[in-house]
Amino acid sequence: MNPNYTTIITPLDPGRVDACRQYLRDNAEPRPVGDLIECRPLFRFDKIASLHFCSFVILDADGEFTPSLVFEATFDGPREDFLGELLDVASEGMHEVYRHCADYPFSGRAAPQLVKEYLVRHDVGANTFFCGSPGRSVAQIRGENLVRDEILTFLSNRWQPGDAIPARSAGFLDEVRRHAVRGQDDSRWAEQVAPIPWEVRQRSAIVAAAAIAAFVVVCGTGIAVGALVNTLFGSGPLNLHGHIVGAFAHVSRIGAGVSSSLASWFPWIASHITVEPAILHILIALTGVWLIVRIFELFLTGWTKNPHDQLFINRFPLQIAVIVRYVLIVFLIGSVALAVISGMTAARSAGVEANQPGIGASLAMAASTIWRLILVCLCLVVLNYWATSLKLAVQLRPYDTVRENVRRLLLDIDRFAMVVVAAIGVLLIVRHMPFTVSSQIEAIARSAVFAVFVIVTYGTHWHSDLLCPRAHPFWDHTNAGDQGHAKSFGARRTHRTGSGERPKVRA
Amino acid sequence: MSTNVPESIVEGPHRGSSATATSTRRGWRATDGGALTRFLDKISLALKMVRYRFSSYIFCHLWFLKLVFTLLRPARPIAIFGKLVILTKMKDVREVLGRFDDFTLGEVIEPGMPWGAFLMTVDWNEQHARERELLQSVVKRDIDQQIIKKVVAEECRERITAANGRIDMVAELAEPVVIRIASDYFGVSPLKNDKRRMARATRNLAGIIMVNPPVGSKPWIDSRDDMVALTQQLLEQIAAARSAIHASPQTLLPDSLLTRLSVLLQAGNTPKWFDEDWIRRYLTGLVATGLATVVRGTAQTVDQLVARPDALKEAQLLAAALDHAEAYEKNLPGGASDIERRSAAERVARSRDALSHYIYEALRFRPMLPLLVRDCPRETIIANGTRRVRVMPSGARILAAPLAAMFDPEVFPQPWRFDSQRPLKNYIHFGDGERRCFGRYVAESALLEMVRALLRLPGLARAPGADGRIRYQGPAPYSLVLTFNKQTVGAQER
Repeated sequence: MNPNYTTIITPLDPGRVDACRQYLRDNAEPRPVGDLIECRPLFRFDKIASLHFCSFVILDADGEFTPSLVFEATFDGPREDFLGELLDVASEGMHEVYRHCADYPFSGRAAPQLVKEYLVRHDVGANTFFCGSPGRSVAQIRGENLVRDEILTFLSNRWQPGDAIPARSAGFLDEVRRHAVRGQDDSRWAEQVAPIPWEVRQRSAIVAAAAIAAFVVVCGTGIAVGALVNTLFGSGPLNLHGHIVGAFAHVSRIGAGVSSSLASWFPWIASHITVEPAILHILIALTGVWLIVRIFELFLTGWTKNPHDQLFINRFPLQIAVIVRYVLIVFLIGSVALAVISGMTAARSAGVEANQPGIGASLAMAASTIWRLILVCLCLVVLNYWATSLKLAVQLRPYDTVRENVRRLLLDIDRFAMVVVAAIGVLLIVRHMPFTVSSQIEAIARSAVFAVFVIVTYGTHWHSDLLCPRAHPFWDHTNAGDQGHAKSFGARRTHRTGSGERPKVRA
Repeated sequence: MSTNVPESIVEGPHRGSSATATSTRRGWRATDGGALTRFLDKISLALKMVRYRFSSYIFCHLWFLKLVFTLLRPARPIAIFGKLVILTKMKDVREVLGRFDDFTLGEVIEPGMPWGAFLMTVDWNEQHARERELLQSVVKRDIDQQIIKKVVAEECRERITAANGRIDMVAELAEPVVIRIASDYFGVSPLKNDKRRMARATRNLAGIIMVNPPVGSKPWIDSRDDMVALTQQLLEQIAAARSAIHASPQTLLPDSLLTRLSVLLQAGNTPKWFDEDWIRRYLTGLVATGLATVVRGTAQTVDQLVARPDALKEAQLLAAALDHAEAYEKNLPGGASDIERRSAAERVARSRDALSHYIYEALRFRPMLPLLVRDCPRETIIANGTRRVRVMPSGARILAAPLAAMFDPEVFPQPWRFDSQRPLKNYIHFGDGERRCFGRYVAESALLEMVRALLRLPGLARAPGADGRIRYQGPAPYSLVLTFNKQTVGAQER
């Protein structure tokens, strides 16, 4: 159960600010008694069983606002019940404090219902609030405190010099559990497993569902907008597929250029590559583009960490780069999937066209495949080693910005290389699998990959549009939280609580 | 007598005939389901046994571990695989073994010690220190080492004299020797006065500590049966010692650890936790952890020496030199000066030290405990301030392997070379830190005397064929046959 909260802000008579402050100091602020604090007779907050925490704050006048009295509290149960209990235990004190506030009912203590309605009327709630013990009621906190005291008492008295201490921590805990928890009537409840709220139990599922929902909404909206635009301009709702194919052809040409250069530098590698050239060229080109985008992103990330520099104009290209990078990864994965499909197709064609190989040829082919797979495994081990080394480099001591960016880039390249090597391994296996995929499945798989491309392209388009006018709210919200205040109130001026009076009572 | 003996041990049935043995095995089973359940249990047990045998093989034939450590050391000296951490450098191994509170042992080793808490299962630093100190208080190191040396020398002489040019150095030499140590020094008599039974029991008990066999398997059942027998015998012996202390003067009692601890208990003014059950648990622990380990160490030392004829020859010369030095010291005339006596004693110490170098170096290639395991209950850092620094995850199990540490080229240059000149302080055959082996003084004396007795044999070599290789029962050795020239021994004796 999460606690409830209230923030009651009432305008205060400017001439009574000091008197009110003094009154609160004299009658509301608890007194320290030994290690504890004790409530004053007029404000017996400790009698309110549901109260976690409350405080009074007086905000001085400034050019825009008159002085105000702020009362904030976190408590268990409904707000009305809490306010009713508050007015029961501190009716005189509350009346004395609030009678100098604007609009306070003249009936005063004689009609507590009117006072409660007055307080409710001035409750502004909170945009965010701090909770010291999330999910725990006051009764539970008190109970746990009691168990803690029992354990401390047990530990202080149980083992005298010469007594055997249990050999291991498990035995020690068992002794504590047996004597300080199970052996005490008041503490036995602690043996039962506390109920876990479903939000906590299902948090992974909730996050996954939210991510999927966001993806579906973004892509769906993108598709709808794109279809509408294309229809309006007469090119048909699914014309984007044609654009993607065209873009792939263009990218493929770039990749072909890079590929021929690489083949001239590393001919022995080229001789071992059996991927369909069109897809290979796309893979190479996308890899190059991804690399450029990543470097650009890291440059923007490392440019400045100063919060004052986090302006929209600086953040926008960075966010675009992040989106483009992820889209490129989707396209890369899709291209690898296409390569796998083409590999399977090639295997099928080879199976149909080739004569039955002899045993010797089969063994040689198997041996060749096996040593290539061993090579792939070794590459993966080395790449994994490199990735671990890069992660360990900053495990205890961070790098400066430039070195950190280089490290992250290298880590990305390493991971990327691992994916490529794993894909090569899959291709090797696929090419020598005894079964083949029928042409229908192949067609469906290709269509599915292109469908994903189309959805992601539309989604990116819509997401980019979305980012343009609305990148501010997140930063505004964060800045509000940066004021170091527990609550971000509806009224802007309540951030200035530092100058006010803060008598605090902990339940 | 009140005791904390686990009920499963006290109530466990004894094994007699094969029919009884079968019923015994059934008796250990918690539930007896239908035919399908029994079949599935058998399959499950068979799979676990395969794993147990594989673990035992790895633990005994160390080539695989050496290969892994050699590959990891330069690449990733502190390797973390999920919750498994492997250390390969001496400094890191020593650091883990030295940090008592950060790296615990009780959780790992307790399943292998079902007779109750023992020094190794105590994870509270203060309590561990108290119990170790109490145990230490009944040890008279110099006198005890002389006793052990004498016992071992006598037993070796008898055994080798009885051998006819061929001796199983495990079954016919090392095991009888350690059983005699248990009897004469620890005060724990052989089970049912049967030395072979006792030898088997030490193997079984050591087996469950080093590599825990699956519940319900034959090694597991055997170990439980032996535990029952040993526990009942110890309870009787402790009761007898108590009665004897009340009845007769202390000087008439055999001078064993059991007697010393019983006398200490009867004298009073001891901590509340020190009672007869404590004596039982600790004597069981010493028997279970100490005896088979010494046998393993001796067998593996000799195995490595006979595998290197040059080193064997040099070691034999040193053994002869030690014999001469001791004879010289013993035969010094009554009127010899202090300088002469001191010089003779120093010569004995030097010879002993030189021979120890060979034994330690041979054992390095096949340590008696190649792996030491620790748990990491809290996240912590090791190798801080070095390039190897790593964060140990909470709940990790750490392999702090002496085998890996003693092949670290930083401490052992050219580690694959047999070099008898390496400093003795570099070896960690007996662990390190506060948990270093308590019975080291026993093990060292016994090991040196047994190896020395074998080195005296002219023409010492492996027996041909499989007999000449160490054979293991689980992780404990049970056979290594050696041959020697009997005629030359007779001539030497004459």
